[in-house]
Amino acid sequence: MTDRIRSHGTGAITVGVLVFLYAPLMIVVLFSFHSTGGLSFPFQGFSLRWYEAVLGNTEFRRALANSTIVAFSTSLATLVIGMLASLGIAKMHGRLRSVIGAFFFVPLTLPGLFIGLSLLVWFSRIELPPSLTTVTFAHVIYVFPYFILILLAVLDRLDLTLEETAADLGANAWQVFWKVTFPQVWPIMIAASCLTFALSFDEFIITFFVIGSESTLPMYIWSQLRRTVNPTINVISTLLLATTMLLWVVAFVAVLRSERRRRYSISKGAFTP
Amino acid sequence: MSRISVDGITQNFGSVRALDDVSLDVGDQEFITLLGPSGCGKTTLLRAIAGFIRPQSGSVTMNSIDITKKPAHRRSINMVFQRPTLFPHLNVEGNVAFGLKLESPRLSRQEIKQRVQEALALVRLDGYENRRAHELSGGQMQRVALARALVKRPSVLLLDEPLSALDLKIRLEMEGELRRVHRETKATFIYVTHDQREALALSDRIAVFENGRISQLGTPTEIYHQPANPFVARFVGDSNVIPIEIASRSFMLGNQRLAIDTDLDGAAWLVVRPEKVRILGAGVGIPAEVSDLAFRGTGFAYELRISGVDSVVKAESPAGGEPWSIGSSVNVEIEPADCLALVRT
Repeated sequence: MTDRIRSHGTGAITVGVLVFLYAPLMIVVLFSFHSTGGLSFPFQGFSLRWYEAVLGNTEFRRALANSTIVAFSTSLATLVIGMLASLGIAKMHGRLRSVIGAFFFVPLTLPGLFIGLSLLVWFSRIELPPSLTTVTFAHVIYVFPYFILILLAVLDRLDLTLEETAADLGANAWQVFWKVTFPQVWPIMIAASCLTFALSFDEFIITFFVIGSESTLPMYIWSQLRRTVNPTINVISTLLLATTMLLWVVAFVAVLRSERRRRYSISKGAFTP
Repeated sequence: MSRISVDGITQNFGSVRALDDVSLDVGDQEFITLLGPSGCGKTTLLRAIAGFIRPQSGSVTMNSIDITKKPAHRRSINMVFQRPTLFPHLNVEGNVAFGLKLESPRLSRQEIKQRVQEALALVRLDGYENRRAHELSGGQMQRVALARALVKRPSVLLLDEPLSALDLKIRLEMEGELRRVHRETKATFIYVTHDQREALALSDRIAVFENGRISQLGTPTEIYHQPANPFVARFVGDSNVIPIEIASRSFMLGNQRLAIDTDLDGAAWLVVRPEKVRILGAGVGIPAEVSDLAFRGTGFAYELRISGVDSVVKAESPAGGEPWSIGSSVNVEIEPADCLALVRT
């Protein structure tokens, strides 16, 4: 009886929290399809006119292109550097690893404001003019710890005897990586890259400091908001939300796939001594 | 022709000495077992031969060529690990072909396929090419691992407790398979185990390890019947090891003086196998009391108390008839020929 009561209570709280979390998002999505320009209820009917307006806007298209270029370059650069770094860290032991690891993870704890400001000073010191290149540099610094954290968690769980087995069968270090380690971790690399792409695509504060005259999507939204509350903002936000969610779904599927494989390989009783 | 020699290998892990000046010669096509409790150094020696560790001192030679500094992937030695470490992203065929594909410029696709077939036939897994690791039983996985090592046609195969993760029934089956594969491949097998029964059943020779040293090296019958010291006597097969005082080729046990064929005099260890301790109802023999009893299928295992002997004396008698119950008084008899005396210091 008490169980029943408690489950009703917790159910109501759960629903309340979910509404609190998702209602604002749903309202933004809903009003992006609004037939009139109104941003409040009552809802007047569906229309794609704001989508047409946004997609026809050259300023928006340019911001979208910039964001995509930056996010793509950021996730690609992070993939290469991050893969090498995490493979190196995974091979380390003891104190050396904690110290090196700490250096890689510290940026995670720094406020974006601080990273942005210090990079602004640094870029002007080395006379690198603000551009999409400086934004990409800044984003790599920002997303790098996330990538390393995810990849290390997976690399640390890999069975090292598999690598020894491969070496025993004649594989050199390079072949061990490509034929044994990489096939086991690539789904996670894709997932981590989706995450870094999404982080970069949404990033505002650091970008604000180092971008100069160009614009990314979050910058564009912000500049629009400064003028008026415009219905096209709903459209852009919805597009941003859809992109991010799509990336998360891809990442999630990739992780599930690799998890299932891992479970198969160790769940057989005979594997656990 | 593949002879492996290790000479004076010493290996420390931190303050622990895993191997202490170990030397061993393994003959061509020999099946040698490194036997010992966990932590005795047997696996460390195997890993030094495989090339996974470079010993701090000493050398490994193969056919008179020093291979101590050669990395693992360049030695024509292959290893089967304790757990069946199949590559999870490959099927059975991919796993077995793994080592051959690395040599692929020298081997055609056709040759690889044929040798994979041969290797799988050797371990009786033909037809399993497209299975994945999770679709196999533990025994099958370990046979795939064996095929994957054998397909390289190694002149020396190292086996690190390959059966210890398997059920008893499959383990017995796999022992037979290993003996057959050893005969058919004519490779040198170096086998590590802590299971003395396995060692006795499989090996041409056994090296018993204790604390990083070889305690005794010999054929299974030598090791079993003439253990060199109390450690080997206790570790290989079950033994009674009882302190005695020998005077003019005889010693006291309980209230009886027994003859023993030895040159030793004074303090010694008496080694006698439980199945050689015969239990008699009454009359002649050493009086004893049954303190414990267990049914073993093939017979009964008893623990006996004999006055003047501190440790329990183990005895076995064949099944059939009623066993002696706990607490009953019996008499035991030991033939002089079944008594072995070892130096006690």
